[in-house]
Amino acid sequence: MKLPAIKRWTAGENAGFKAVVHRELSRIFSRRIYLLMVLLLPLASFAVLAAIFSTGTPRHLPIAVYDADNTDFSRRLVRLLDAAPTLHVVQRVTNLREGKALILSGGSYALVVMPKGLERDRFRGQGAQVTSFYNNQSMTAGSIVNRGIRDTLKAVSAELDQQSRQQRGETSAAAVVHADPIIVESRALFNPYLNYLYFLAGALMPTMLQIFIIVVTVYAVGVEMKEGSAREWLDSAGGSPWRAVAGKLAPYTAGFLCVGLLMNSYLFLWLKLPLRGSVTLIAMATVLLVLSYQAVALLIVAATANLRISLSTAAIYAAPAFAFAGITFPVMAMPLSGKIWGGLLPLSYYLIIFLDQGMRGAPMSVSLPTLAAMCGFVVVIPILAVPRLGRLMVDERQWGKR
Amino acid sequence: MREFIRVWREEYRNIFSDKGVLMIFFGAIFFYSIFYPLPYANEVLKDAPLAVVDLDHSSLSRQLARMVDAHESTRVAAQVTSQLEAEQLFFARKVHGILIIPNDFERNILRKEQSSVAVYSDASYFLLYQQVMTGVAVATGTLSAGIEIKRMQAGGFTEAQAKQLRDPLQLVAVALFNPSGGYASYVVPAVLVMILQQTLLIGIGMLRGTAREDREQTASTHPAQGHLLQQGEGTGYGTVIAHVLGKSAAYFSLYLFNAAYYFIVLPRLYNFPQRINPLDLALLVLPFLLAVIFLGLSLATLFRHREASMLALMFTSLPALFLAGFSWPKESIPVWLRGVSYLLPSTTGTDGLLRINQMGASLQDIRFDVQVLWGLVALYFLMACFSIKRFTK
Repeated sequence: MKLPAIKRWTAGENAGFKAVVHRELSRIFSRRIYLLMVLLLPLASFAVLAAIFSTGTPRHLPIAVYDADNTDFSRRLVRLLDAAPTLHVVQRVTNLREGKALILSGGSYALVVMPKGLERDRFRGQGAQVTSFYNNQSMTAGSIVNRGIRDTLKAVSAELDQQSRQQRGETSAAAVVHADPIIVESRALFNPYLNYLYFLAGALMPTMLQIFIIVVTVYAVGVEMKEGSAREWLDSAGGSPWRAVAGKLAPYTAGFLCVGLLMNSYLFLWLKLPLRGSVTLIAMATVLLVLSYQAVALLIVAATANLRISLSTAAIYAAPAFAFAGITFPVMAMPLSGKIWGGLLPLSYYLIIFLDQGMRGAPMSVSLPTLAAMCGFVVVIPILAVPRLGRLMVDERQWGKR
Repeated sequence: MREFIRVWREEYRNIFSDKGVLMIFFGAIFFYSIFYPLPYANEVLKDAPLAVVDLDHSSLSRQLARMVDAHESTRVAAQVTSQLEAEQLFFARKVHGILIIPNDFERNILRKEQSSVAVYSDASYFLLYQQVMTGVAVATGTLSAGIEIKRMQAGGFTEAQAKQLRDPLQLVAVALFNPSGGYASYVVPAVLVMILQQTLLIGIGMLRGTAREDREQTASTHPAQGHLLQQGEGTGYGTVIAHVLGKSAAYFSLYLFNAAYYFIVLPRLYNFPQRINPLDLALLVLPFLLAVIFLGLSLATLFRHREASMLALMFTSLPALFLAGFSWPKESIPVWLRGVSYLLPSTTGTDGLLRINQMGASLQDIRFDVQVLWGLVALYFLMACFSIKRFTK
């Protein structure tokens, strides 16, 4: 299992942008890690993410009931709970301890307790009371289960209220009206069924992509220093660091743009995420996402001049990005330091455009300033990074460090 | 046994003489412990901004707007006169909800007819959606109940009777373990487990990649010695096992401190709800760390370069996190993928840790997790032995 040697550049061929691209392509095909990291693993990770959220909204989450009343009424409640689309009564426990143990072991997300005398209290009109204990450490499941239980019991309560009004002599129509003086008509905009596939998978795939872009770019550039081939690289570009960088990154840019295109096709065409805004803007944002992370990668290598430290820095920069991009926990609730850090990540801007032009269908004008911010990364960062990178390429003291 | 101690000590030397590994084993552990919880420092999202389109201009509609503003999860950020204006604010992300109060709002109530309000909420951010809905629903519900109870009192009922009559089946919902719904308490403990796993895997891979680079270098300059480097004489089973255990002892002893920092010190520092039973925690951490270490040694055989482990493993954190079932319920993950996810120590490790540390479960409650982890320990131990044997050949 010997490492295939990287093909060496031989002087005398035409130096320049094209030459660097040729040199890079032969490097890419000489080590399988590049092909893996640029194409196969990103696509595989997209598929895994889509599979995780493929059900869209959680259904039939397990709950337990403790029916101490055991009457027609309490049994009817149990049946109604089981019939709720988000709930599934997996077990009827015979005491509270058993119910608690079931929550602790993960067998159920909630315990609904129907106390003794529930039916009697209902007939006497004495405020029958049901208690539910739900697992709020598993917040997603816990709140879905809690909502399911609440809605089910509320419907029963409203029905009972209406019945008793009719018994008191109100007509059915009047009883409905009187039940609730004010009702709320609510609409969930953009994602009406609260589909997690739309909400999370759509945001997680670009998050994965930025990790791949920054890691591959840092590695491709940094390894030239580590293995002492940086001068040869610069020579192949005819001595211009800008041409060297452009030629080196071009094949990866092309590769990641393909992956970005596949990602967006997968999201919008295959998984059918709503696409209500401008396709052009999403495409432009995707191009800028690739370029801006390549730019940041250059800056990291230029600043640290060491492959390993560059990779660690890239890890710190890109791996926790999802938390700072504000999809799950909104930016407005973050402390200032969190807001600032999020603002230094191109991903944050990308996801805003992605949501505005995808699901939200916002006017194009809304996204232009955000797009401009992404352009800022692409323009400013290379100006900072490339000249210093050019100096590092010829500084032999920087070579071979690991 | 002598071989075991020798490998153990040698691995300590490898770790402590390698700045890169130290930066991962200790630097990253410390850095992430501060950095990762940062966005969630405020724990909950309060005052989600919404726009009110009050077409009624009555005292009742103003009262409703005030009540929505007063609720802790919402805040009225703008009072506008048209829906169009509200929409513009919405797309500009100045507000994340719109409450529309129609012009017959108060009149209907006075006529004892049903009134309705409409609320549009931003479901492209689920937490904002939830807060807007909660704020409006609670405020409206309170106002509505007040009106109804007053009406019933006018009809001759006492206030207590009225309350019972309008809600004949009451639900008392008790949120367990994380009663305030704190976001850091929800996310960070799970992420910590993932950080322990990933840093260990990457660090072990880096040590092995470095050893391989060294060996290849030596092999090219001193071909005769190349294959003898580092492993002494024999490659029998005894030596292989001593190698695996010796290296593992080095990682394990160091990560015991990291685990104590992550699972005992940090939860206190960050005030996470914590119900700790040290013995149960130890009996979970033991198979978790061993499974990760043996997995690391098995995977390490793939890495020929110092950096390769970082390259290849960094991206796995995010999918592994969502496979762990702490945020997306495990029941909703397709069965085949759930099966595969049990091969990751983090899946059962996260589940077990949250139950022991955050929920106060006993070892008995999480026996499934512990059993799976011990199964992984056995599986990956064999794989690690196999990979070391191949390496030393």
